[in-house]
Amino acid sequence: MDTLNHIKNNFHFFFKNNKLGTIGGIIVILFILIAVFAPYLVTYSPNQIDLTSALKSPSKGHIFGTDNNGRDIYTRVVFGSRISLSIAFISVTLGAIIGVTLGLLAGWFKRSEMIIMRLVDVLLSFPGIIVALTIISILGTDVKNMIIAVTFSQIPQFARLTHGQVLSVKEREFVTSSVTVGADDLWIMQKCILPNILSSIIVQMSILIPSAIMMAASLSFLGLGVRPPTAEWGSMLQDSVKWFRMAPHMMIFPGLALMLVVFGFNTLGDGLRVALDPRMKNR
Amino acid sequence: MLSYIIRRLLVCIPTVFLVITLVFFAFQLIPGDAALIFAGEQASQEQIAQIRSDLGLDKPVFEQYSIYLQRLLKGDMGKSAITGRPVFLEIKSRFFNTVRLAVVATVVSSIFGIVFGTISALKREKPADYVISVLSIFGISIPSFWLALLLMYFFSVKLKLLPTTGNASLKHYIMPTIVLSVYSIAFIARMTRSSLFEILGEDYVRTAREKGMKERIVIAKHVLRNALIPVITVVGLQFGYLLGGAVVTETVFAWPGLGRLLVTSVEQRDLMVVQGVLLVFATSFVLVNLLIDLLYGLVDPRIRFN
Repeated sequence: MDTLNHIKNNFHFFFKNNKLGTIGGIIVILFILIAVFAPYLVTYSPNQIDLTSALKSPSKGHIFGTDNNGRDIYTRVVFGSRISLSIAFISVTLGAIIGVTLGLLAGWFKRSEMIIMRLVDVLLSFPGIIVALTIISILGTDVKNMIIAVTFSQIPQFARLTHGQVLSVKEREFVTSSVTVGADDLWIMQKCILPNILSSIIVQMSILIPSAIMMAASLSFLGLGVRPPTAEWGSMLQDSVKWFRMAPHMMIFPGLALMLVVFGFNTLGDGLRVALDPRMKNR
Repeated sequence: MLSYIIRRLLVCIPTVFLVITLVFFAFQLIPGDAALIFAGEQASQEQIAQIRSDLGLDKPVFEQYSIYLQRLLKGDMGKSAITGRPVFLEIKSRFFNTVRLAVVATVVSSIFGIVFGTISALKREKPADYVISVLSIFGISIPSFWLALLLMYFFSVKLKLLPTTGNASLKHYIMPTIVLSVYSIAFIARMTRSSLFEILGEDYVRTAREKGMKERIVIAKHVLRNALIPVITVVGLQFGYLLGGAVVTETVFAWPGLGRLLVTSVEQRDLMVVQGVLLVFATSFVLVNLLIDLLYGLVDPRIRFN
Protein backbone atom coordinates (compact mmCIF):
# COMPACT_ATOMS: atom_id res chain seq x y z
CA MET A 1 0.00 0.00 0.00
CA ASP A 2 1.32 3.29 -1.11
CA THR A 3 -0.07 5.22 1.79
CA LEU A 4 1.29 2.91 4.44
CA ASN A 5 4.77 3.11 2.95
CA HIS A 6 4.44 6.82 2.82
CA ILE A 7 3.55 6.93 6.49
CA LYS A 8 6.36 4.51 7.35
CA ASN A 9 8.93 6.54 5.45
CA ASN A 10 7.77 9.63 7.22
CA PHE A 11 7.64 8.02 10.62
CA HIS A 12 11.26 8.54 11.41
CA PHE A 13 11.16 12.08 10.08
CA PHE A 14 8.04 12.74 12.10
CA PHE A 15 9.43 11.74 15.47
CA LYS A 16 12.78 13.36 14.88
CA ASN A 17 11.46 16.69 13.73
CA ASN A 18 8.19 17.15 15.46
CA LYS A 19 8.52 17.20 19.21
CA LEU A 20 5.04 18.55 19.83
CA GLY A 21 3.51 15.94 17.52
CA THR A 22 5.42 13.22 19.37
CA ILE A 23 4.14 14.45 22.71
CA GLY A 24 0.64 14.48 21.25
CA GLY A 25 1.09 10.93 20.01
CA ILE A 26 2.26 9.76 23.43
CA ILE A 27 -0.73 11.40 25.14
CA VAL A 28 -3.12 9.78 22.67
CA ILE A 29 -1.59 6.32 23.09
CA LEU A 30 -1.69 6.76 26.86
CA PHE A 31 -5.39 7.60 26.81
CA ILE A 32 -6.15 4.68 24.51
CA LEU A 33 -4.32 2.37 26.94
CA ILE A 34 -6.21 3.88 29.88
CA ALA A 35 -9.51 3.32 28.08
CA VAL A 36 -8.67 -0.28 27.18
CA PHE A 37 -7.33 -1.28 30.60
CA ALA A 38 -9.69 0.88 32.66
CA PRO A 39 -10.93 -1.91 34.98
CA TYR A 40 -7.35 -2.81 35.94
CA LEU A 41 -6.40 0.74 36.85
CA VAL A 42 -8.98 1.35 39.53
CA THR A 43 -9.97 -0.03 42.91
CA TYR A 44 -13.57 1.22 43.02
CA SER A 45 -16.45 0.77 40.63
CA PRO A 46 -17.44 3.91 38.69
CA ASN A 47 -20.98 3.88 40.01
CA GLN A 48 -20.28 2.74 43.55
CA ILE A 49 -22.20 5.14 45.81
CA ASP A 50 -20.95 5.82 49.32
CA LEU A 51 -22.76 8.76 50.88
CA THR A 52 -20.61 8.67 54.02
CA SER A 53 -17.62 9.85 52.01
CA ALA A 54 -19.38 12.33 49.70
CA LEU A 55 -17.62 15.50 48.44
CA LYS A 56 -14.23 14.55 49.90
CA SER A 57 -11.23 16.50 48.68
CA PRO A 58 -8.37 14.58 47.05
CA SER A 59 -6.67 12.28 49.57
CA LYS A 60 -4.71 9.03 49.65
CA GLY A 61 -7.80 6.83 49.35
CA HIS A 62 -9.37 8.96 46.62
CA ILE A 63 -6.60 10.74 44.71
CA PHE A 64 -9.05 12.95 42.75
CA GLY A 65 -11.54 13.13 45.63
CA THR A 66 -15.17 12.03 45.59
CA ASP A 67 -18.35 13.50 44.13
CA ASN A 68 -21.68 14.35 45.76
CA ASN A 69 -22.64 10.68 45.80
CA GLY A 70 -19.32 9.60 47.26
CA ARG A 71 -18.23 8.05 43.98
CA ASP A 72 -14.48 8.00 43.33
CA ILE A 73 -13.70 10.70 40.76
CA TYR A 74 -10.44 9.10 39.61
CA THR A 75 -12.34 5.92 38.73
CA ARG A 76 -15.00 7.89 36.88
CA VAL A 77 -12.41 9.90 34.94
CA VAL A 78 -10.65 6.68 33.92
CA PHE A 79 -13.90 5.09 32.80
CA GLY A 80 -14.97 8.33 31.12
CA SER A 81 -12.10 7.92 28.64
CA ARG A 82 -13.84 4.81 27.30
CA ILE A 83 -17.03 6.70 26.47
CA SER A 84 -15.34 9.74 24.96
CA LEU A 85 -12.87 7.83 22.82
CA SER A 86 -15.35 5.28 21.58
CA ILE A 87 -17.98 7.88 20.69
CA ALA A 88 -15.32 9.88 18.84
CA PHE A 89 -13.92 6.88 16.96
CA ILE A 90 -17.35 5.56 16.01
CA SER A 91 -18.68 8.88 14.80
CA VAL A 92 -15.55 9.91 12.91
CA THR A 93 -15.32 6.51 11.21
CA LEU A 94 -18.99 6.55 10.24
CA GLY A 95 -18.68 10.17 9.16
CA ALA A 96 -15.65 9.29 7.04
CA ILE A 97 -17.37 6.34 5.36
CA ILE A 98 -20.49 8.30 4.48
CA GLY A 99 -18.69 11.55 3.69
CA VAL A 100 -16.03 9.93 1.50
CA THR A 101 -18.71 8.01 -0.41
CA LEU A 102 -20.65 11.21 -1.03
CA GLY A 103 -17.46 13.03 -2.02
CA LEU A 104 -16.51 10.25 -4.44
CA LEU A 105 -19.95 10.35 -6.02
CA ALA A 106 -19.89 14.13 -6.31
CA GLY A 107 -16.39 14.17 -7.73
CA TRP A 108 -16.85 11.36 -10.21
CA PHE A 109 -20.43 11.71 -11.43
CA LYS A 110 -21.04 15.20 -12.73
CA ARG A 111 -24.79 14.88 -12.36
CA SER A 112 -24.77 14.27 -8.62
CA GLU A 113 -22.15 16.95 -7.98
CA MET A 114 -24.50 19.92 -7.96
CA ILE A 115 -26.96 18.47 -5.44
CA ILE A 116 -24.44 16.88 -3.07
CA MET A 117 -22.01 19.76 -2.92
CA ARG A 118 -24.72 22.36 -2.55
CA LEU A 119 -26.05 20.51 0.52
CA VAL A 120 -22.52 20.09 1.84
CA ASP A 121 -21.86 23.82 1.49
CA VAL A 122 -25.04 24.68 3.35
CA LEU A 123 -24.23 22.26 6.17
CA LEU A 124 -20.67 23.57 6.37
CA SER A 125 -21.87 27.13 6.80
CA PHE A 126 -23.34 26.08 10.16
CA PRO A 127 -21.24 25.48 13.27
CA GLY A 128 -21.24 21.72 13.88
CA ILE A 129 -22.93 22.02 17.25
CA ILE A 130 -25.99 23.66 15.68
CA VAL A 131 -26.29 20.82 13.17
CA ALA A 132 -25.94 18.34 16.03
CA LEU A 133 -28.59 20.12 18.13
CA THR A 134 -31.00 20.10 15.19
CA ILE A 135 -30.64 16.35 14.83
CA ILE A 136 -31.06 15.76 18.55
CA SER A 137 -34.15 17.94 18.62
CA ILE A 138 -35.64 15.79 15.88
CA LEU A 139 -34.61 12.36 17.13
CA GLY A 140 -34.73 13.02 20.89
CA THR A 141 -32.00 12.82 23.51
CA ASP A 142 -30.08 9.62 24.05
CA VAL A 143 -26.59 8.30 23.41
CA LYS A 144 -27.41 6.68 20.08
CA ASN A 145 -28.91 9.90 18.77
CA MET A 146 -25.95 11.88 20.00
CA ILE A 147 -23.60 9.60 18.02
CA ILE A 148 -25.79 10.13 14.95
CA ALA A 149 -25.66 13.88 15.53
CA VAL A 150 -21.88 13.99 15.94
CA THR A 151 -21.47 11.74 12.88
CA PHE A 152 -23.69 14.00 10.85
CA SER A 153 -21.64 17.05 11.69
CA GLN A 154 -18.53 15.26 10.35
CA ILE A 155 -19.99 14.10 7.04
CA PRO A 156 -19.81 17.41 5.13
CA GLN A 157 -16.15 17.91 6.06
CA PHE A 158 -15.17 14.53 4.62
CA ALA A 159 -17.38 15.04 1.58
CA ARG A 160 -15.81 18.38 0.71
CA LEU A 161 -12.25 17.11 1.18
CA THR A 162 -12.87 13.98 -0.91
CA HIS A 163 -14.66 15.92 -3.62
CA GLY A 164 -11.71 18.28 -4.03
CA GLN A 165 -9.20 15.43 -4.04
CA VAL A 166 -11.16 13.41 -6.58
CA LEU A 167 -11.34 16.39 -8.92
CA SER A 168 -7.55 16.67 -8.95
CA VAL A 169 -6.78 12.94 -9.14
CA LYS A 170 -9.37 12.52 -11.89
CA GLU A 171 -7.24 14.45 -14.37
CA ARG A 172 -4.13 12.35 -13.76
CA GLU A 173 -2.99 10.10 -16.57
CA PHE A 174 -3.54 6.71 -14.91
CA VAL A 175 -7.17 7.61 -14.36
CA THR A 176 -7.87 9.00 -17.80
CA SER A 177 -6.21 6.00 -19.41
CA SER A 178 -8.31 3.63 -17.27
CA VAL A 179 -11.38 5.44 -18.50
CA THR A 180 -10.17 5.13 -22.09
CA VAL A 181 -9.70 1.37 -21.89
CA GLY A 182 -13.21 1.09 -20.52
CA ALA A 183 -12.67 0.26 -16.85
CA ASP A 184 -15.89 0.52 -14.89
CA ASP A 185 -16.50 3.36 -12.46
CA LEU A 186 -16.42 1.28 -9.30
CA TRP A 187 -13.08 -0.29 -10.24
CA ILE A 188 -11.51 3.09 -10.97
CA MET A 189 -12.72 4.52 -7.68
CA GLN A 190 -11.43 1.55 -5.71
CA LYS A 191 -8.12 0.99 -7.43
CA CYS A 192 -7.07 4.37 -8.77
CA ILE A 193 -8.71 7.10 -6.77
CA LEU A 194 -9.19 5.86 -3.22
CA PRO A 195 -5.55 4.77 -2.64
CA ASN A 196 -4.38 8.17 -3.79
CA ILE A 197 -6.57 10.16 -1.46
CA LEU A 198 -6.31 7.84 1.53
CA SER A 199 -3.54 9.75 3.28
CA SER A 200 -5.48 13.00 3.28
CA ILE A 201 -8.52 11.18 4.62
CA ILE A 202 -6.45 9.76 7.46
CA VAL A 203 -5.11 13.20 8.29
CA GLN A 204 -8.64 14.60 8.20
CA MET A 205 -9.79 11.86 10.59
CA SER A 206 -7.03 12.71 13.03
CA ILE A 207 -8.04 16.37 12.83
CA LEU A 208 -11.74 15.68 13.36
CA ILE A 209 -11.40 13.24 16.28
CA PRO A 210 -10.69 16.00 18.82
CA SER A 211 -13.61 18.06 17.58
CA ALA A 212 -15.86 15.00 17.87
CA ILE A 213 -14.66 14.37 21.43
CA MET A 214 -15.31 18.00 22.30
CA MET A 215 -18.74 18.06 20.70
CA ALA A 216 -19.86 14.86 22.44
CA ALA A 217 -18.66 16.24 25.78
CA SER A 218 -20.38 19.58 25.14
CA LEU A 219 -23.66 17.87 24.30
CA SER A 220 -23.43 15.73 27.44
CA PHE A 221 -22.59 18.83 29.45
CA LEU A 222 -25.74 20.46 28.09
CA GLY A 223 -27.69 17.39 29.21
CA LEU A 224 -28.39 16.29 25.63
CA GLY A 225 -26.03 13.35 25.32
CA VAL A 226 -24.73 10.79 27.78
CA ARG A 227 -26.96 10.88 30.85
CA PRO A 228 -25.98 10.36 34.48
CA PRO A 229 -25.07 8.08 36.17
CA THR A 230 -22.79 6.97 33.30
CA ALA A 231 -19.26 8.22 33.92
CA GLU A 232 -18.66 10.71 31.12
CA TRP A 233 -16.50 13.83 31.37
CA GLY A 234 -19.10 16.28 30.05
CA SER A 235 -21.89 15.05 32.28
CA MET A 236 -19.50 14.87 35.27
CA LEU A 237 -18.77 18.55 34.68
CA GLN A 238 -22.50 19.24 34.53
CA ASP A 239 -22.85 17.49 37.92
CA SER A 240 -20.01 19.57 39.34
CA VAL A 241 -21.81 22.87 38.64
CA LYS A 242 -24.19 22.42 41.57
CA TRP A 243 -21.35 21.68 43.99
CA PHE A 244 -18.57 23.84 42.79
CA ARG A 245 -18.48 26.21 45.72
CA MET A 246 -17.97 23.31 48.15
CA ALA A 247 -16.10 20.84 45.96
CA PRO A 248 -14.10 22.49 43.16
CA HIS A 249 -12.12 19.26 42.68
CA MET A 250 -15.25 17.78 41.10
CA MET A 251 -14.78 20.01 38.07
CA ILE A 252 -10.97 20.10 37.88
CA PHE A 253 -10.20 16.52 36.90
CA PRO A 254 -12.80 15.64 34.24
CA GLY A 255 -12.03 18.94 32.49
CA LEU A 256 -8.30 18.34 32.70
CA ALA A 257 -8.69 14.89 31.17
CA LEU A 258 -10.85 16.27 28.39
CA MET A 259 -8.40 19.05 27.61
CA LEU A 260 -5.39 16.70 27.64
CA VAL A 261 -6.92 14.22 25.25
CA VAL A 262 -8.05 16.96 22.87
CA PHE A 263 -4.63 18.60 23.10
CA GLY A 264 -2.98 15.25 22.32
CA PHE A 265 -5.10 14.65 19.24
CA ASN A 266 -4.69 18.24 18.04
CA THR A 267 -0.89 18.19 18.21
CA LEU A 268 -0.75 14.69 16.72
CA GLY A 269 -3.05 15.79 13.89
CA ASP A 270 -0.91 18.85 13.22
CA GLY A 271 2.20 16.69 13.15
CA LEU A 272 0.63 14.13 10.82
CA ARG A 273 -0.50 16.85 8.45
CA VAL A 274 3.01 18.19 8.22
CA ALA A 275 4.55 14.73 7.85
CA LEU A 276 2.14 13.58 5.14
CA ASP A 277 2.12 16.81 3.18
CA PRO A 278 5.51 17.26 1.52
CA ARG A 279 4.78 20.91 0.79
CA MET A 280 4.61 21.65 4.50
CA LYS A 281 7.98 20.14 5.38
CA ASN A 282 9.99 23.26 4.89
CA ARG A 283 7.67 25.50 6.77
CA MET B 1 -18.20 46.71 -7.45
CA LEU B 2 -21.96 47.19 -7.78
CA SER B 3 -22.34 44.19 -10.07
CA TYR B 4 -20.27 42.18 -7.61
CA ILE B 5 -22.59 43.12 -4.74
CA ILE B 6 -25.66 42.25 -6.78
CA ARG B 7 -24.17 38.92 -7.82
CA ARG B 8 -23.39 38.00 -4.22
CA LEU B 9 -26.85 39.05 -3.06
CA LEU B 10 -28.49 36.90 -5.72
CA VAL B 11 -26.49 33.87 -4.58
CA CYS B 12 -27.81 34.37 -1.03
CA ILE B 13 -31.46 33.98 -1.91
CA PRO B 14 -31.37 30.35 -3.04
CA THR B 15 -29.16 29.49 -0.07
CA VAL B 16 -31.66 30.87 2.44
CA PHE B 17 -34.43 29.14 0.54
CA LEU B 18 -32.50 25.87 0.61
CA VAL B 19 -31.98 26.15 4.37
CA ILE B 20 -35.67 26.85 4.95
CA THR B 21 -36.56 23.82 2.84
CA LEU B 22 -33.97 21.66 4.57
CA VAL B 23 -35.29 22.58 8.01
CA PHE B 24 -38.85 21.85 6.91
CA PHE B 25 -38.06 18.41 5.55
CA ALA B 26 -35.76 17.57 8.46
CA PHE B 27 -38.66 18.16 10.83
CA GLN B 28 -40.79 15.85 8.70
CA LEU B 29 -38.58 13.04 9.96
CA ILE B 30 -39.82 13.38 13.53
CA PRO B 31 -41.22 10.04 14.60
CA GLY B 32 -44.82 10.12 15.82
CA ASP B 33 -47.75 12.52 15.40
CA ALA B 34 -46.27 15.91 14.52
CA ALA B 35 -49.26 17.87 15.87
CA LEU B 36 -48.88 16.19 19.24
CA ILE B 37 -45.17 16.93 19.38
CA PHE B 38 -45.43 20.52 18.17
CA ALA B 39 -48.20 21.22 20.68
CA GLY B 40 -46.14 19.96 23.61
CA GLU B 41 -46.93 17.58 26.42
CA GLN B 42 -49.41 19.76 28.28
CA ALA B 43 -51.55 20.61 25.26
CA SER B 44 -55.29 20.03 25.29
CA GLN B 45 -57.18 18.24 22.51
CA GLU B 46 -58.36 21.59 21.08
CA GLN B 47 -54.83 22.99 20.99
CA ILE B 48 -53.60 19.92 19.16
CA ALA B 49 -56.45 20.17 16.68
CA GLN B 50 -55.72 23.88 16.27
CA ILE B 51 -52.08 23.20 15.43
CA ARG B 52 -53.04 20.40 13.09
CA SER B 53 -55.23 22.73 11.07
CA ASP B 54 -52.83 25.72 11.33
CA LEU B 55 -49.93 23.73 9.93
CA GLY B 56 -52.10 21.70 7.60
CA LEU B 57 -50.70 18.51 9.10
CA ASP B 58 -53.61 16.45 7.76
CA LYS B 59 -52.73 17.52 4.20
CA PRO B 60 -50.10 16.08 1.83
CA VAL B 61 -46.47 17.04 2.50
CA PHE B 62 -46.16 19.49 -0.36
CA GLU B 63 -49.27 21.35 0.69
CA GLN B 64 -47.85 21.55 4.22
CA TYR B 65 -44.67 22.92 2.72
CA SER B 66 -46.50 25.67 0.91
CA ILE B 67 -48.47 26.57 4.06
CA TYR B 68 -45.15 26.69 5.93
CA LEU B 69 -43.63 29.04 3.37
CA GLN B 70 -46.67 31.32 3.38
CA ARG B 71 -46.59 31.53 7.16
CA LEU B 72 -42.90 32.35 7.16
CA LEU B 73 -43.46 35.12 4.62
CA LYS B 74 -45.91 36.67 7.05
CA GLY B 75 -43.31 36.35 9.83
CA ASP B 76 -45.41 33.73 11.60
CA MET B 77 -43.17 31.08 13.17
CA GLY B 78 -45.85 29.52 15.35
CA LYS B 79 -46.21 29.54 19.14
CA SER B 80 -44.01 28.13 21.86
CA ALA B 81 -45.51 24.99 23.36
CA ILE B 82 -44.11 25.93 26.78
CA THR B 83 -44.82 29.64 27.19
CA GLY B 84 -47.57 29.99 24.59
CA ARG B 85 -45.97 33.16 23.28
CA PRO B 86 -45.32 33.62 19.56
CA VAL B 87 -41.90 32.25 18.59
CA PHE B 88 -41.10 35.52 16.84
CA LEU B 89 -41.34 37.42 20.16
CA GLU B 90 -39.33 34.80 22.04
CA ILE B 91 -36.55 35.20 19.51
CA LYS B 92 -36.75 38.96 19.19
CA SER B 93 -36.14 39.54 22.89
CA ARG B 94 -32.98 37.41 22.83
CA PHE B 95 -31.48 37.94 19.41
CA PHE B 96 -29.60 41.15 20.21
CA ASN B 97 -28.14 39.76 23.43
CA THR B 98 -26.46 37.06 21.37
CA VAL B 99 -25.33 39.45 18.65
CA ARG B 100 -23.89 41.91 21.16
CA LEU B 101 -21.84 39.20 22.83
CA ALA B 102 -20.66 37.80 19.49
CA VAL B 103 -19.64 41.26 18.24
CA VAL B 104 -17.65 42.02 21.40
CA ALA B 105 -15.97 38.61 21.22
CA THR B 106 -15.18 39.02 17.53
CA VAL B 107 -13.52 42.40 18.12
CA VAL B 108 -11.53 41.10 21.08
CA SER B 109 -10.42 37.93 19.32
CA SER B 110 -9.44 39.72 16.09
CA ILE B 111 -7.25 42.21 17.94
CA PHE B 112 -5.49 39.65 20.12
CA GLY B 113 -5.36 37.02 17.40
CA ILE B 114 -3.76 39.29 14.82
CA VAL B 115 -1.30 40.77 17.32
CA PHE B 116 -0.19 37.38 18.64
CA GLY B 117 -0.03 35.89 15.15
CA THR B 118 2.13 38.77 13.90
CA ILE B 119 4.52 38.57 16.84
CA SER B 120 4.78 34.84 16.34
CA ALA B 121 5.58 35.17 12.63
CA LEU B 122 8.11 37.97 13.03
CA LYS B 123 9.91 36.14 15.86
CA ARG B 124 9.88 32.87 13.97
CA GLU B 125 11.53 29.97 15.81
CA LYS B 126 12.34 32.22 18.76
CA PRO B 127 10.99 31.72 22.31
CA ALA B 128 8.08 34.14 21.73
CA ASP B 129 6.96 32.09 18.72
CA TYR B 130 7.13 28.83 20.65
CA VAL B 131 5.21 30.22 23.61
CA ILE B 132 2.46 31.64 21.39
CA SER B 133 2.27 28.46 19.30
CA VAL B 134 1.92 26.17 22.31
CA LEU B 135 -0.56 28.53 23.96
CA SER B 136 -2.67 28.58 20.82
CA ILE B 137 -2.86 24.80 20.72
CA PHE B 138 -4.01 24.94 24.34
CA GLY B 139 -6.49 27.65 23.40
CA ILE B 140 -7.94 25.40 20.73
CA SER B 141 -7.99 22.38 23.05
CA ILE B 142 -9.53 23.82 26.20
CA PRO B 143 -13.23 22.95 26.53
CA SER B 144 -15.15 26.22 26.67
CA PHE B 145 -17.53 25.09 29.40
CA TRP B 146 -14.63 23.97 31.56
CA LEU B 147 -12.85 27.28 31.09
CA ALA B 148 -16.12 28.98 32.02
CA LEU B 149 -16.37 26.96 35.24
CA LEU B 150 -12.74 27.66 36.14
CA LEU B 151 -13.16 31.40 35.58
CA MET B 152 -16.37 31.43 37.59
CA TYR B 153 -14.63 29.64 40.43
CA PHE B 154 -11.67 32.02 40.58
CA PHE B 155 -13.27 35.35 39.76
CA SER B 156 -16.69 34.90 41.31
CA VAL B 157 -16.34 32.42 44.14
CA LYS B 158 -12.76 33.01 45.30
CA LEU B 159 -12.01 36.63 44.45
CA LYS B 160 -15.66 37.81 44.37
CA LEU B 161 -14.79 40.23 41.56
CA LEU B 162 -17.23 39.28 38.82
CA PRO B 163 -20.89 38.25 38.76
CA THR B 164 -21.48 34.63 37.73
CA THR B 165 -24.62 34.85 35.61
CA GLY B 166 -26.85 37.28 33.75
CA ASN B 167 -26.16 40.24 31.49
CA ALA B 168 -27.17 43.28 33.53
CA SER B 169 -23.91 45.26 33.52
CA LEU B 170 -20.67 45.65 31.63
CA LYS B 171 -18.97 43.43 34.21
CA HIS B 172 -21.22 40.58 33.09
CA TYR B 173 -19.60 40.66 29.66
CA ILE B 174 -16.06 39.93 30.86
CA MET B 175 -16.15 36.19 31.51
CA PRO B 176 -18.43 35.19 28.61
CA THR B 177 -16.26 37.25 26.26
CA ILE B 178 -13.09 35.54 27.47
CA VAL B 179 -14.65 32.09 27.15
CA LEU B 180 -15.98 32.78 23.68
CA SER B 181 -12.78 34.45 22.47
CA VAL B 182 -10.10 32.00 23.58
CA TYR B 183 -10.67 29.54 20.77
CA SER B 184 -10.96 32.29 18.16
CA ILE B 185 -7.86 34.13 19.37
CA ALA B 186 -5.88 30.92 19.04
CA PHE B 187 -7.34 30.15 15.65
CA ILE B 188 -6.84 33.64 14.23
CA ALA B 189 -3.29 33.77 15.62
CA ARG B 190 -2.40 30.54 13.83
CA MET B 191 -3.92 31.73 10.57
CA THR B 192 -2.20 35.11 10.77
CA ARG B 193 1.12 33.43 11.44
CA SER B 194 0.98 31.10 8.45
CA SER B 195 -0.39 33.80 6.19
CA LEU B 196 2.47 36.13 7.16
CA PHE B 197 5.02 33.38 6.49
CA GLU B 198 3.72 33.05 2.99
CA ILE B 199 3.88 36.77 2.25
CA LEU B 200 7.32 37.18 3.87
CA GLY B 201 8.70 34.83 1.21
CA GLU B 202 7.27 36.82 -1.71
CA ASP B 203 9.54 38.51 -4.24
CA TYR B 204 8.11 41.96 -3.70
CA VAL B 205 8.99 41.80 -0.02
CA ARG B 206 12.57 40.93 -0.89
CA THR B 207 12.64 43.75 -3.39
CA ALA B 208 11.32 46.21 -0.85
CA ARG B 209 13.99 45.17 1.62
CA GLU B 210 16.77 45.25 -0.92
CA LYS B 211 15.96 48.73 -2.06
CA GLY B 212 16.69 49.75 1.54
CA MET B 213 13.21 50.27 2.90
CA LYS B 214 12.98 50.27 6.66
CA GLU B 215 11.88 46.89 8.04
CA ARG B 216 9.01 48.47 9.92
CA ILE B 217 7.59 49.98 6.76
CA VAL B 218 8.09 46.76 4.80
CA ILE B 219 6.05 44.92 7.40
CA ALA B 220 3.33 47.53 7.76
CA LYS B 221 2.94 48.47 4.11
CA HIS B 222 3.77 45.36 2.13
CA VAL B 223 3.44 42.37 4.37
CA LEU B 224 0.58 43.00 6.78
CA ARG B 225 -1.74 44.51 4.20
CA ASN B 226 -1.51 41.44 2.03
CA ALA B 227 -1.30 38.90 4.80
CA LEU B 228 -4.49 40.12 6.44
CA ILE B 229 -6.67 39.43 3.41
CA PRO B 230 -7.20 35.73 4.18
CA VAL B 231 -7.46 36.64 7.86
CA ILE B 232 -10.63 38.62 7.08
CA THR B 233 -12.32 35.41 5.99
CA VAL B 234 -11.26 33.70 9.16
CA VAL B 235 -12.51 36.56 11.31
CA GLY B 236 -15.84 36.43 9.48
CA LEU B 237 -16.07 32.67 9.91
CA GLN B 238 -15.24 33.11 13.58
CA PHE B 239 -18.14 35.51 13.93
CA GLY B 240 -20.40 32.75 12.66
CA TYR B 241 -18.70 30.30 14.98
CA LEU B 242 -19.17 32.69 17.90
CA LEU B 243 -22.88 32.95 17.19
CA GLY B 244 -23.00 29.16 17.37
CA GLY B 245 -20.52 28.92 20.26
CA ALA B 246 -23.01 30.96 22.18
CA VAL B 247 -24.92 27.72 22.65
CA VAL B 248 -22.55 26.47 25.34
CA THR B 249 -21.31 29.78 26.74
CA GLU B 250 -24.77 31.29 27.12
CA THR B 251 -25.98 28.19 28.90
CA VAL B 252 -23.16 28.23 31.46
CA PHE B 253 -23.46 31.94 32.19
CA ALA B 254 -27.28 31.95 32.00
CA TRP B 255 -27.00 34.61 29.29
CA PRO B 256 -30.48 35.35 27.93
CA GLY B 257 -29.62 34.76 24.28
CA LEU B 258 -30.59 32.60 21.32
CA GLY B 259 -28.10 29.84 22.10
CA ARG B 260 -29.56 29.24 25.53
CA LEU B 261 -33.07 29.42 24.09
CA LEU B 262 -32.10 26.74 21.57
CA VAL B 263 -30.69 24.43 24.25
CA THR B 264 -33.68 24.77 26.58
CA SER B 265 -36.08 24.29 23.68
CA VAL B 266 -34.30 21.15 22.53
CA GLU B 267 -34.38 19.90 26.11
CA GLN B 268 -38.10 20.57 26.47
CA ARG B 269 -38.78 19.50 22.89
CA ASP B 270 -40.39 22.86 22.16
CA LEU B 271 -39.96 22.24 18.46
CA MET B 272 -41.64 25.37 17.12
CA VAL B 273 -39.05 27.44 18.95
CA VAL B 274 -36.24 25.15 17.80
CA GLN B 275 -37.34 25.58 14.21
CA GLY B 276 -37.55 29.36 14.57
CA VAL B 277 -34.14 29.70 16.21
CA LEU B 278 -32.58 27.53 13.51
CA LEU B 279 -33.98 29.71 10.78
CA VAL B 280 -32.74 32.88 12.47
CA PHE B 281 -29.28 31.35 12.97
CA ALA B 282 -29.21 30.16 9.38
CA THR B 283 -30.17 33.52 7.95
CA SER B 284 -27.56 35.21 10.15
CA PHE B 285 -24.84 32.86 8.91
CA VAL B 286 -25.77 33.51 5.30
CA LEU B 287 -25.73 37.27 5.91
CA VAL B 288 -22.39 37.09 7.70
CA ASN B 289 -20.94 35.12 4.80
CA LEU B 290 -22.30 37.73 2.41
CA LEU B 291 -20.66 40.46 4.44
CA ILE B 292 -17.30 38.65 4.37
CA ASP B 293 -17.55 38.23 0.61
CA LEU B 294 -18.29 41.91 0.15
CA LEU B 295 -15.48 42.96 2.45
CA TYR B 296 -13.18 40.60 0.65
CA GLY B 297 -14.07 42.11 -2.70
CA LEU B 298 -13.46 45.54 -1.24
CA VAL B 299 -9.92 44.85 0.00
CA ASP B 300 -8.86 42.52 -2.78
CA PRO B 301 -9.93 43.77 -6.21
CA ARG B 302 -8.77 40.50 -7.80
CA ILE B 303 -11.78 38.71 -6.29
CA ARG B 304 -14.39 40.96 -7.88
CA PHE B 305 -13.49 39.97 -11.42
CA ASN B 306 -13.42 36.28 -10.78
